[in-house]
Amino acid sequence: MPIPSNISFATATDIGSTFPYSTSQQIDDSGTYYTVYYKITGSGSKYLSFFFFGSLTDYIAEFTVYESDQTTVYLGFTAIDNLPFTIPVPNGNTYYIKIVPTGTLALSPATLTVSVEAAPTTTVVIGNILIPDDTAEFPLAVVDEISGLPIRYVLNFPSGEYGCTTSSGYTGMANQADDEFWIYDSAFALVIAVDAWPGEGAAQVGQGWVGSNHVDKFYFATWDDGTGDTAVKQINTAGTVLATFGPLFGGGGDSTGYFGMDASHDDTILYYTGRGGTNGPVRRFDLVNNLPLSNLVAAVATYSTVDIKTLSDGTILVMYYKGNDVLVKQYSAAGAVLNTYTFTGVNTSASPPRLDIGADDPISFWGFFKDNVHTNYQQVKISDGSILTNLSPVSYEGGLYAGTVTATPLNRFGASGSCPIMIFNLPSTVTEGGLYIQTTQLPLSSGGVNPTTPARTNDELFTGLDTTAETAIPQPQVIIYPAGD
Amino acid sequence: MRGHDPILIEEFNGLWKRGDADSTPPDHFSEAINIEFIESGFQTRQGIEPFYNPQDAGTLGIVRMYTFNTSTDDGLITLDTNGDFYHVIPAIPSSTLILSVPTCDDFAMVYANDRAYISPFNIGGSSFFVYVYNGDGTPARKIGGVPPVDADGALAAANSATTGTVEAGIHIFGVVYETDSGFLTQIGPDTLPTVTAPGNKKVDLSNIPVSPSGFVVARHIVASKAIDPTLYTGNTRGYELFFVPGGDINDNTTTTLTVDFFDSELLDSAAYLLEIASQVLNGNNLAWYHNRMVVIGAPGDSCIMKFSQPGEYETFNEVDGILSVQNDGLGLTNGIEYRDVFYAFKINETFAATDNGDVPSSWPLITIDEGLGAGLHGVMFLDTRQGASVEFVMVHNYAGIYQFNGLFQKPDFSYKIRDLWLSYTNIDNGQEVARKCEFYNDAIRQRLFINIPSQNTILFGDYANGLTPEKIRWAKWTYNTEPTTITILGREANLLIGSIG
Repeated sequence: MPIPSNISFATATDIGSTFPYSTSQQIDDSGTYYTVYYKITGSGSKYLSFFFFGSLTDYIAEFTVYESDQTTVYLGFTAIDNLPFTIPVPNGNTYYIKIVPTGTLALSPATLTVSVEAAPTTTVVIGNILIPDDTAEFPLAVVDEISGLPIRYVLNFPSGEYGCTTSSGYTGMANQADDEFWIYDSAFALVIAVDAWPGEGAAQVGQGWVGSNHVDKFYFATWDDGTGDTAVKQINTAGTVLATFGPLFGGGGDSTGYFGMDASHDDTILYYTGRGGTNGPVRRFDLVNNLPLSNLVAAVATYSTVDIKTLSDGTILVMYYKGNDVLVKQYSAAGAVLNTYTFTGVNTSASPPRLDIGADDPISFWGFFKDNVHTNYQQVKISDGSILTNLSPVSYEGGLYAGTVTATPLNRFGASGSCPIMIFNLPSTVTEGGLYIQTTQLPLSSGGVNPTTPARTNDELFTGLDTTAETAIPQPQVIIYPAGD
Repeated sequence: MRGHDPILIEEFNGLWKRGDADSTPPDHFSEAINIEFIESGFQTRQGIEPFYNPQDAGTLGIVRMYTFNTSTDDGLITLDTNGDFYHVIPAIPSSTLILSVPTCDDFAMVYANDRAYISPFNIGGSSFFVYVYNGDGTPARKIGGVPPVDADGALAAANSATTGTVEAGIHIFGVVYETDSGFLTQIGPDTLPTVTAPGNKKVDLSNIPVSPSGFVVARHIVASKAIDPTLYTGNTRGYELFFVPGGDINDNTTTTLTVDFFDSELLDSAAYLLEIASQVLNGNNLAWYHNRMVVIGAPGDSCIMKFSQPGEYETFNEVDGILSVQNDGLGLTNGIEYRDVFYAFKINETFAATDNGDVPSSWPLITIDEGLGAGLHGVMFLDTRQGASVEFVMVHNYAGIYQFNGLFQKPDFSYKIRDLWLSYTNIDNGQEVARKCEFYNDAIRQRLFINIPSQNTILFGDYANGLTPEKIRWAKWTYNTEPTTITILGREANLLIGSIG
């Protein structure tokens, strides 16, 4: 074998712009194992998955990603062995991947396999799961609630821990990198980045609480409104600050821990968890008269509160956790416990569990759990606590596959194992009737009748004259009743 | 679970809704929503998408639709919430308004020879008529037609100056209109002229009526055989008239004609035309039997069935073309021909009538079942028409979904989902199942569909493993829009869903 041709930045193999891309090459010659280089230049901004793999022990492909200056490491990908990774590749930008041979190097031929895939760009529909990333520059993952795998990424989406959606299709996200609240429309076009708390720093605002009335308004809090207490801005979906409420703690409060906040759907009461970690009650605030109210419920002893979500039926869901014990309680507006949902077998070691209501509000809610390897999505039926969906794909934290090294990774794209969970929603009212066709998938081996209308994975419904919207197929599910002995 | 023996499930046999959840067999589901079955497995059902977009008047607010295939196009007849009927041809695409019956909320339809026969009705039992649509975009009109009247032309008959063969004696003459759908009207005009033939002349006809109706495309001369003048009663309607050879006028304009015939050439009797209806009241359903169109039920008398003349689907004898069942407060809802017998249904009763070769009113009619019947749309459509397989017809009623082969087969076809079906029969005091739920069979993919509009649901049955109560695999398909009406269209047997939103 001749020595490889791509053994420098200058001679790096160009991956090109057609995906999926795959190739392989022998990187050893006459007992020498060569470092090889690949490069890619963005052709239209894309989110790409790369996988450079040698073997598990004899030839480990240790890669580093460089920016166009061939010196700066891109997004922290340096000296990583044999794992798939995902990165945004903006239009016109060039990146280099340097693959260093490590391991026993007792293998010849030592073959490097290379695979590059572009992320899917499926239309976002009602019920999809939105997972932002907690690492800057990584996109929002839109996850199919049936498969658990991303169907689309939204580039340039702010990283952070707090965000929520409205039934009108808007998504609001507190950008942890600045002090602004970013609002996206249903097509994930940025509407506006609102500087709702001018003068407050990212430490006070970027990690601030976010809630909504689930219809058309967001609530965005700062940890410190300048007086040492917490206050909240009410913002509409156009980004206009409509009102300021607070202080929420009567001049007290602290600045640590994870918090939840949500408004009743009629914008009369704000529910929020106490600050300072464990033993915090669920508090209420009068949004009409701008006054604190009595607590909804006292703390659940030794548990920390996390997300709060209000349902369209006026009830409130609160998520509590203590280690790997996770509870969700459903309260009436009077504070009576209506249901308690206990999650077992979850792992909260990566970050706290999170919660959002389903697009079928008030039928179900979603719990989001992470264990440093998987993102676990569990959809729970509110009426009886049954698990409607339980998905655990491998996560991609900081763009890197979190599973074990393997030649056959389980999924080439994934969501971050941190951050909140948000369920995408849209007005589901179909204002116009119409004529539809039920698409059908025939067996691949069928040589008979071929449908002129290809099968599709979503329902597309009329929302107005000649206008349509994608919507998820409602709640696909089966339940098997376990037989007794 | 420690100590628990695993259960191997090799086949998934669909929804089980019968008894408590713990009675669900291991290979069935206690819930199955929006899934379809594949070999040894299941997957999420495929999505729906607009079939006709941009929308137009014929595809908005559809409350009922039927497939209407002609020799040139696969299409639909749709009814919207305004009572407007459209002929929709997706391939063009086009929607043509063909009829407006503002107060109707449903309709029945059959079709043949490129023509659709439409019976509008509503829940209030209002009086409408049965219509025929020629499939060519021209407006539908009531079946039948108005016969010639004196105002159209006072028909006159006189011995011709030319030599002929009209036999000596009195001959009565009349005219029959023929419409563009082939219907022959009653004999007219009001006054039928006579001529006393000498035996060696032709007969000159003049003032032949001209119909004011644009759909009359031809006229036919009818005449009696020679009547002995000494025996003639003077009642022109009291003698049998025959179609005259050479008496066809293939237009609606000519007013004169000379005819010549022997009595022995008068073979084709027109007597039956004296008692036919010029228009036919609507029914709750339409069907076929022995090449007759059947109108099932009628306003004010929902327990009668009207049978057309064989091959003349607009010709209904108002005297002997009628069969009736006992009126016990529930009307006839449906009917179908199966193995040479016509079965008529109420929602909870079934009757059988048999053609004995005589007029329909003489046919024997027996009661088959006094507990089970079929809904207004409860007899399964096989492809484009209500159909029967070799083995049976499928129907649904309050008690369930049944295979019917002259008897309702037990166990019922909905055995596995009995509780679910009974829950549907509770909707709207039974009206949902009795009036709204349609029943279609995709024979290509071996699937059954019954829409449950108020539940935004289509009950889906996959019979790829066998068309038996045991083998059928059920699931519920739900939508974020109401499946108000369904049908199956085209060679590919595509399921279409019409929605009022």
